[in-house]
Amino acid sequence: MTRELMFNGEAVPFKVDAATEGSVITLNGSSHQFGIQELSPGRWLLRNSQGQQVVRAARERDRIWVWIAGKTFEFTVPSDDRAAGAHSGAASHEVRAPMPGTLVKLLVSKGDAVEEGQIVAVVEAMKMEHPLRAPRAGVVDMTSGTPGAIVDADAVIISLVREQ
Amino acid sequence: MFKKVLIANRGEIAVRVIRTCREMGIRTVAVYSEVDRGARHVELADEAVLIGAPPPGESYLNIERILNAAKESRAVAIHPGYGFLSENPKFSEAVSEAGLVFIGPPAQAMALLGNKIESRILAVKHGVPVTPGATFDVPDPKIVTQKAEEIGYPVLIKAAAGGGGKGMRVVHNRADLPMALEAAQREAGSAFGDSTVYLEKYIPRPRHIEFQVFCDTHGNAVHLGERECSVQRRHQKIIEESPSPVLTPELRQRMGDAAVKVVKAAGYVNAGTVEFLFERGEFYFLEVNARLQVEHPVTELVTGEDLVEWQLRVAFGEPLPKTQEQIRSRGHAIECRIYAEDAARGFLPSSGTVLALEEPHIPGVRIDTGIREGSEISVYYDPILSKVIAFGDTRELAIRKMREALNQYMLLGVATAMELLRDVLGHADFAAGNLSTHFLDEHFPNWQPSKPTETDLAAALLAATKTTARRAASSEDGKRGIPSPWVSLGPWQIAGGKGGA
Repeated sequence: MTRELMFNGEAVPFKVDAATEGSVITLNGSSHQFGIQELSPGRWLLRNSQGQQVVRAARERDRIWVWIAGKTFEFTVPSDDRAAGAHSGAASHEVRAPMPGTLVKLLVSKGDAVEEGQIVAVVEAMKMEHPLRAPRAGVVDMTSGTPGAIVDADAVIISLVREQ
Repeated sequence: MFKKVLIANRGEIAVRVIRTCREMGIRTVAVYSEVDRGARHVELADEAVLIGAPPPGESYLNIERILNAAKESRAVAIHPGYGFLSENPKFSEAVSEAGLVFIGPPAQAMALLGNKIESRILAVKHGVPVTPGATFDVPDPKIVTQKAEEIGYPVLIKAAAGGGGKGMRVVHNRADLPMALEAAQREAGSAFGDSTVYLEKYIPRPRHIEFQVFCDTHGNAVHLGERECSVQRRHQKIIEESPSPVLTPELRQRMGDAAVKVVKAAGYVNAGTVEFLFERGEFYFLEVNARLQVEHPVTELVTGEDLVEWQLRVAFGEPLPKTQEQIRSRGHAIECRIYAEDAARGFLPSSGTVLALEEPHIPGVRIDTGIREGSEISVYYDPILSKVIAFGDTRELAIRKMREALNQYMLLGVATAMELLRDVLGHADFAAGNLSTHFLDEHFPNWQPSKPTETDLAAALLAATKTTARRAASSEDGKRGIPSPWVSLGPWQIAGGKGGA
């Protein structure tokens, strides 16, 4: 069965098949066979011809984190409303919060004309202010949230329409 | 010694202070905001008091609530940690007025050193080198331009009340000066409520070298050597070490003497750090940080001293535990700060739940941490999670231990810059000690993690398909209710013994 996970903003298709001992992963046309032994929940010992590695993994909602020998992978399970493209698919007429935080400044209101790169809002998280810039020139069609409000990651804060 | 100390902080530094208090037989009181109910510092303290809502102004920055918590718990002294209220003279004063001991400098010295112009004048008065510069009664653009010309471009406009790069502007030529001046004043005014600025010669590629100092109430003052903190991002240190690869014994003595002179002149008491810029064998006084620094463990590992213990003793009125001659430094120590941030996305803060955690276990490596599995990393506070501090006989060995420690450090659920830190430690210029505060910008602009090998990616995908979402219950446990008063009794450890039932 072919599956797909998002990694670094790109869809990675792969296949998992059971083997006599463990599993075979088919990725980019090549096969990788691993013996796999569950040590405890979220912790496995993976073996291949090179040797063995402890692998750790944890999942929260649509995000899966995996750790192998000092390298951490963050995968996202693609969902229907976020098909191919994931984060990078954010429409270019929208300004979204890059992380959860407090909306400290909303510098434009509906009807304002903005230039590409203009700072339109400021979100603060963990003591640091992050200016949000207009992705292109346009007119503010909608603003969401008031200064002081908590915003979620990826929340649309401002949307733009093309200049009339 | 104090019977009971309240720690007006959270995270790894609160945990750090609690540990020394325990060792010294001092009872501890943690304070926490609603979002920190299940935090590690809360569970480790003997008592814990809820002080308010998550925004710092309603909890960790709220002087009244912290003092109430101290009264309620009958603490006799308050340790402010770093950040939050640690360098607020009003807090130091309010603590004293409430009849409690503030574990830090007196308000007056703190206020004096908190003003960059005042501390600069103090340094000059005592023969400590500063960068060429100028201060103004009225910053008339004409006069400022004239002074900038005398100093020579590029110049730096800085806020007197400054910090964190706010109200700071580099000016490369005369044409840019008026606008930069106005912008710096505006920014300083809105950030610090004080728009006073001054001029300094801009030093293009300085190293950041600071000295740990300590003063007691009996007129004794010593330094405990230096820390080099040149590897920074956004004016914030991420790797610190001692000794600095560039200081000779002669320079160390001159800078240490200068550092002690400045704090003595300010009437300073307790732990402080004197920061210098260093370039081509010359050093320039920068500022004094009137608190225990994040990077203090580096000094602890090379000197073998417990700086929190020193702080407690000095605040209690005891003389400094050692004289300058008795303080020895050996080997090399390096610290890496582990922040919840995404180095591949411009160090964007990363909040969330620590889903899985396994800290490195290596001889000579110390971990100061404020988290455990299940910890919630909220958007409200500084994103520091922990610090890894490695010690070796030589710098090379300390670096090797640090790289291995970061290799072993497994933390899932929030992003950290561990991979970038490993790349920095493996860089030839870092190994050679060729550092400046622009090291990261110069060598790692727009850093991205290396591409995984196909085999590793395949293994990761296999593990990912076998992973199911963790039940919500585990993170709920951490949030549940009141910190246990039983922590203080430690009955299981005593009754059960090691490896007991």
